[in-house]
Amino acid sequence: MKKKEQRFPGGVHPTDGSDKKLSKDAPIVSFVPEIIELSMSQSGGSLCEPLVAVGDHVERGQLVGQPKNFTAVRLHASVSGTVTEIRTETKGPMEVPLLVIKPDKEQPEEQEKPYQKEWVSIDGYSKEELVSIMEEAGITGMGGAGFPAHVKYKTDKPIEYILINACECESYLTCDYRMMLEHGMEILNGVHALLKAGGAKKAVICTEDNKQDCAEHLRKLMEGQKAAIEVMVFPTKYPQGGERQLIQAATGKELRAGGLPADAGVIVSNVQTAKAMADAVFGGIPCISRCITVTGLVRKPGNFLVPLGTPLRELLHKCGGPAKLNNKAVLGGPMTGSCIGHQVKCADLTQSVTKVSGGLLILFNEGMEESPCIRCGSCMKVCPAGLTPWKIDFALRKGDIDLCHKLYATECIGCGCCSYVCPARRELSPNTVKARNDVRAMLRERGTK
Amino acid sequence: MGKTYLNPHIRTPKTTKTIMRDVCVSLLPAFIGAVYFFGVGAFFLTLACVASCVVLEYLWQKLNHIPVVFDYSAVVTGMLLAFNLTSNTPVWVAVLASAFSIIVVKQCFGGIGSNFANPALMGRLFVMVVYPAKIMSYVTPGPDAVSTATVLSMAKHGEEITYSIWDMFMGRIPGALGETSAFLLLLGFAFLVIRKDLDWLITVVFAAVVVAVTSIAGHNPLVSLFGGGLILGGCYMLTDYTLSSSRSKVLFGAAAGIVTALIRIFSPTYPEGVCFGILTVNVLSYFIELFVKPHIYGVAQKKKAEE
Repeated sequence: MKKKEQRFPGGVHPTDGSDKKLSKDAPIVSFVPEIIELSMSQSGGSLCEPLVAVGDHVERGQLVGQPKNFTAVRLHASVSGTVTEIRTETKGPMEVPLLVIKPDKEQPEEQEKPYQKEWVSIDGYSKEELVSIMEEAGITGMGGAGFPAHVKYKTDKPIEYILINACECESYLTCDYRMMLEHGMEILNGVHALLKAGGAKKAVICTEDNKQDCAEHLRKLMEGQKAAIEVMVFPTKYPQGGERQLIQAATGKELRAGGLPADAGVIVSNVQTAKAMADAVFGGIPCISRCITVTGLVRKPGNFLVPLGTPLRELLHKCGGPAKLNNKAVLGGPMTGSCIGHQVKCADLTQSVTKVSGGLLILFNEGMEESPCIRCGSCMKVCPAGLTPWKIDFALRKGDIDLCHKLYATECIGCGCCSYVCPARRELSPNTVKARNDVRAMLRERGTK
Repeated sequence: MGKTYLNPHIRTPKTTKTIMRDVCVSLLPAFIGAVYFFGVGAFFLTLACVASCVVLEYLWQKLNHIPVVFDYSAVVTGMLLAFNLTSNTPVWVAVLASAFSIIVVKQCFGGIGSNFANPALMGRLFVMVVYPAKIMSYVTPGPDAVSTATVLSMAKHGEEITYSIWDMFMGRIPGALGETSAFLLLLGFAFLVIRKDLDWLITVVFAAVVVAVTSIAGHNPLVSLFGGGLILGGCYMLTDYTLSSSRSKVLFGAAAGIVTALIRIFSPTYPEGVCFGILTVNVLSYFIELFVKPHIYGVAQKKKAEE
């Protein structure tokens, strides 16, 4: 593998780095919230069946949700407490049950375990055991897409590399950065476990050059170790952490259109997935917490390692609330996250932390209006997939799905670069994603897929 | 939720408006130069073009009940059109040409971004066709404007060129208002390139091809470069956003350059050619773009796998 030279085409540099500085130096804070609202849909489109009833007492780590569809994984109680209510919330097209848990005053004590301080041997575990631990512990991709990790690792294709996505290419977010600095040893042990679970030759922790200090820190921790783990530093560019782009940059390989990373002998996992893996394998703790960055126009930006189901309003409150009233709240990163409200105050946020929430951003709500496309071609230049978004946008507006197909709308990764650069403020990215989905639906209907 | 709440939630500070405003700013040095070289008439002529472009666009949008947008693009068209006229052009011709540019070329085809050719150049062409006497009679710079031949037509007819290369570079030569001073135009162009509003590749390829091809025919390369409208056309008209987005920038610039050079060499009446070179690639831009296939992620791999 060559270093540094290999890159992916397109991409943007959304900010100058000042956005990350807001929360970069804020140490991770952990706390048990007053109430837990555990959603049965922990990642987009997934659904679990609740296994407890109102009034039940649950222990931390107890299984409370059984997966009901393909993208769901097992869900565990994130605190010890009493289930006080089960209500339904609407998430997109789905009605999702929501467990409200009142945490006990006394939570099980956190004991320091060896894997948090030093290298732990992985020899006692077989590949199959590790994958089944992954499934038992309900580990899902924690980068944002939330695809069940055990499904990725169960592949029978020969795997050469495990790529650990530590790019955190979205601006504003710093939770992965803080995790690497503060929980580096756990992450490395987790990577080691993932390496074995995937049966790969080598694991590569991929990060960007704005996180040089993380790379140095991890390298130092690995000194004298023989584990086949390498840290690679790439130039800072969005979407460096996109799955296909990361594979392209790290291995020089391009996936087949519609193909999976495993086809190219690669599995990509997020750095927080590695942490969850370490907790599960060496600590016996299932996936019940994650680190989230709360930043933007808040008084005290910070990074929080909290139990799943922590209400966003409580996190925002901890950060001193929004600093501007004309704001919009975004769950996830600024490029791909979704807007969960505007002109929000703390109490307006109804959602809670899930396995995939990397950030809660309060951004300035600038009024934007679409204006006519001037065909400057900027969108085409930045598209990492090589598409021509403005043409796809026109085709979609005309309802010409066939043309969208011919323009390869199916290859859109939804990164948002096209909308970001558009001087006419056209909603190119959401429209291209819609074109992609429409084309896929059309192909399914024709039965050619 | 309204439209503005779709992702991504951060956007580049560049908008159509800021880009067009930058272009206006970049044209200011050449505008000041035009007033300096050709007198206060140049000022009023430019003012007439800009005002009529802006007002006519506003009226058109109002009367047709389409959203009224002010994005400085009409100002750019007005300024560029004025730069293409000679200082003795009557104001009413300028206004008529503005109307043709804005209404026929720009708005009738769907407004900004949908025009098939550069509106300002079409305006110039309009004047050339309808009032040939007006645009073809170039005057010497200075208050005592005397009808004279341009540098390029002197060169074409084998006359002795009475201007030095330095005069040509600085702009002390007969010609249209804004095209004479290569120095001031390049100053503005550098501003746009530094602001990352424009891609210089097309311009450089275009100029290089024109100079190379005309040199083969025995023209003085520096006269070709600075003696006519090459800099104005190459920097500001050929790079029209709408018509230069093609992936094949090199091919695009080269095609314009070849047409321009061939006209300069072979045309008995037009010593200039830049206008036609640019308009030719404008209308051919769709086909030129077909020459370069975009590299779409994973498609080649998929085809290989299917075979």
